[in-house]
Amino acid sequence: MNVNVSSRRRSALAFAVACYVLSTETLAVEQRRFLLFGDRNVTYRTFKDASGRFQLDYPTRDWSPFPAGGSAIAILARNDRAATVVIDLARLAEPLAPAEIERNAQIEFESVKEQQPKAKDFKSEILDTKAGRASLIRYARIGANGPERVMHYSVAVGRDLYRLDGVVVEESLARYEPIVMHMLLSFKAPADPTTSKP
Amino acid sequence: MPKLVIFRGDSVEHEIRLAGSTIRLGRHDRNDVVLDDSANGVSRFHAEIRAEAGTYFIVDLNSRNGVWISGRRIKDKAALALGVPVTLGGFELALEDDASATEFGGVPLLNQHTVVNAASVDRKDGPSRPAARSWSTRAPLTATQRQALLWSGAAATVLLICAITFAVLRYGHQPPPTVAENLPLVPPPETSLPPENPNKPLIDQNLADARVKMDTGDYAGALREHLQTVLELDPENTQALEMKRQADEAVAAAALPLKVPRPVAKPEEPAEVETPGIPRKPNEAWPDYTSRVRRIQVAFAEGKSSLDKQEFAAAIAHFRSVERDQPRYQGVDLSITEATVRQQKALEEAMNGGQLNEQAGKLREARLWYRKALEIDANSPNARDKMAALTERLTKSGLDAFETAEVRRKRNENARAIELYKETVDLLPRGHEKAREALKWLESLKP
Repeated sequence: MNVNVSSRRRSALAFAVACYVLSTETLAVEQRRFLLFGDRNVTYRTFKDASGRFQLDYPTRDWSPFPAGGSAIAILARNDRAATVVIDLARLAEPLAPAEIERNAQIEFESVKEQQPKAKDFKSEILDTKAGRASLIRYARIGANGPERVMHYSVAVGRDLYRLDGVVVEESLARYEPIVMHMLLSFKAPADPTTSKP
Repeated sequence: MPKLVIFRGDSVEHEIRLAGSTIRLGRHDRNDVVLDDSANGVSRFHAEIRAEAGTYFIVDLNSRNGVWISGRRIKDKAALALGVPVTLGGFELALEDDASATEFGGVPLLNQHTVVNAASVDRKDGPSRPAARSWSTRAPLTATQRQALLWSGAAATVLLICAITFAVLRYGHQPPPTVAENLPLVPPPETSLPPENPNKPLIDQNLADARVKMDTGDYAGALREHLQTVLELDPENTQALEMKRQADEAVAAAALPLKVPRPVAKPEEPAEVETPGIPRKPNEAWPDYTSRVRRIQVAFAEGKSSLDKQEFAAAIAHFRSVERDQPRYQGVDLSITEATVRQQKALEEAMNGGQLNEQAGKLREARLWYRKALEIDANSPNARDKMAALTERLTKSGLDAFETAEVRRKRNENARAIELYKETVDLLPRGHEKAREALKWLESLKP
C-alpha cells in the first residue's frame, strides 16, 4: 500500500517537472522571438550624463558605467562584457530639419556599411522614441570575442547627434538583446536636470 | 536745138533732139525713151525731161534710185545745163547743143519711141565716143544699118570677152577695197570693163555718202537716204547690212534715254541678264528679280554650309527657302531629301545613345545625347518626350543630391557635401532655386 502511494507521488512529481521544463522552454523561445517579457525580471536604473546632456536606463544588476574616451561620452556594459552600450556624441553644424531625419538615417546606414565592410544582415528602421525620431540599424559582425550583433541607434537633438551602439555577443543574444533595446529606447536628451545622477 | 545724149559707160547709146515737149525715160515700154536696164537700176518710170520757159528740167518720178547730177541726188527736179552729166541707174545723160546731122537721118525727134538696151549684143556702133550709136527704133532698118549693127554687136562681144578675161586675171585674187578709203563721191563712169553689177557705182556712192553721214553722227539720215537705197539695189550687200546694223544700234541707243527716263541719284543698273536657273517671272521688276536671285543664292550657299556642318535643321530650312523662291534650283529638292535622310539617321543615333545611357543610369550622358537629338531635330516628338522625362528624373536626382548635401554639410562632412552640391548644380536645370543655393554653398565651402 505505501509502495503504491509513493509511486503515484513520484509520477506526479515527474509530470510537474516535465511541464515546468516545457513551459519555460516555450517561454524562452517566444521571448526571443518577440522580444517580450525578456526584461520582465530585470530592474533598471537611470544613467544620467554628468553634464546633463542625456539619460538612459540600464540594469541594476551586472551592468556598470565604464570610463569613456575619444568621441564616446559614456560606456555601459555588463560586467562579463557579454553586452555593451557605447554612447557617442557628434556636433552638427546646424540642427536637422524633421524632413532630414530619414536622410540622416540613410547617411548613417551608408556610413556604417562603409565602416563595417565585413558586416552583414543589415536592417534599418525609423523609430519614434522619447528622444524624437531616431534610426535603428541592426547588423551582424565578427568582433574580438567572436560573432556579435550590433544595434546602432542614432538620434539628433538640436545640434547634437547621438549615436548609441549596443553590442551583444551572438550566443547571449536572446538574453541581452531585449535589455540593450530597452536601454536604447530609454535614451533621452537632454536629461531631466532634477534627477540627474552620474 | 539741144539734144539729149544718152551714154552707157563711154559709149553713146542714143541721142534725141529736144523739141520742147516732155520726154519720159524709164524701163517700161510705155516710156518715150526706154532705158532697158536688166539689173533694175532704172525704175519703170524713172524721170522726165521737161522744157519750161526755155530751160530744160529733169524731173524725178519718184524713182527708186533717183536722178543724180554732179554726184548729188536731185529732189523732184533740177535744171539741165549743157554738158553736165545726169545719172539714171547705169545710164548717163547729157544735154548738148545739136548742130549736126547723121548719115542715118540725123538725131531722132522726140516723137520717136526709143529703146536703149544695156545688153551689148544690141550695140550697133563701136565703143568710140561720140560717133558710136547703139539704139534701136521701131522704124524698119535698112540693110546697111542691119549689117553695121551686126558687126558692131560682134565686135562688142569680142571686146567684152577680152575685158572679162583681163579683169579675172588682174583682180581675181585681190581683196576688196574698203568703203571709206576707196569709194569716190561721184559714181565713176565705167571704163572698158563691163560691170558685174550695173548698180555698183550707185551702191558705192550711197555707201560712201552713208559713211560720211554716219561719221558726222547722222545715222538716221544715212539709213533713210543711202543705206535703204543700197539694200533695195542689193539686199545681200554685206557692207550695207553691217552699216545698217551699226546705224540701227546708234539710232536705238540715241532713242533709249527718251523712252526710259533714268532715275535720279540711283546707281547704274547692270545689264538685265537673267541668272541661269532662275528665270524672271512675268511682270517681275528687275530689282525684285535681282533681290530674289541674291536671296536664293545666299540661302542655297548657307544650306550647303549647314549640311556640311551637320546642322540639318538649318540646312533644310535654307533649302526650303530656296525651293519656295525658285523650285528645283540646282536640284534643291534633292538637297532637301538628302538633308532629311541624314537628319533622320543622325536623330536615330542620338536617341539610341541616349536610351542606352539612360538604361545604364548615366543620366547626364543620356541628357547630352537627347540634347543632341533635339539639336538635330527640334520638332522630334520622341526626342522631346525623352528629354522631358529625363529632365524630370534629373531634377529629382538633383533635389535628392541637394538634400543629402545639406545633411552632409550639417554633419560637418564638407568634402562629401561639396561633391553633392556640384552634382546638384549639374543635375538641376539652370536657374533652379536649389541649384542657385548649391552654388552659394559651393562658394562658401570652398577650401
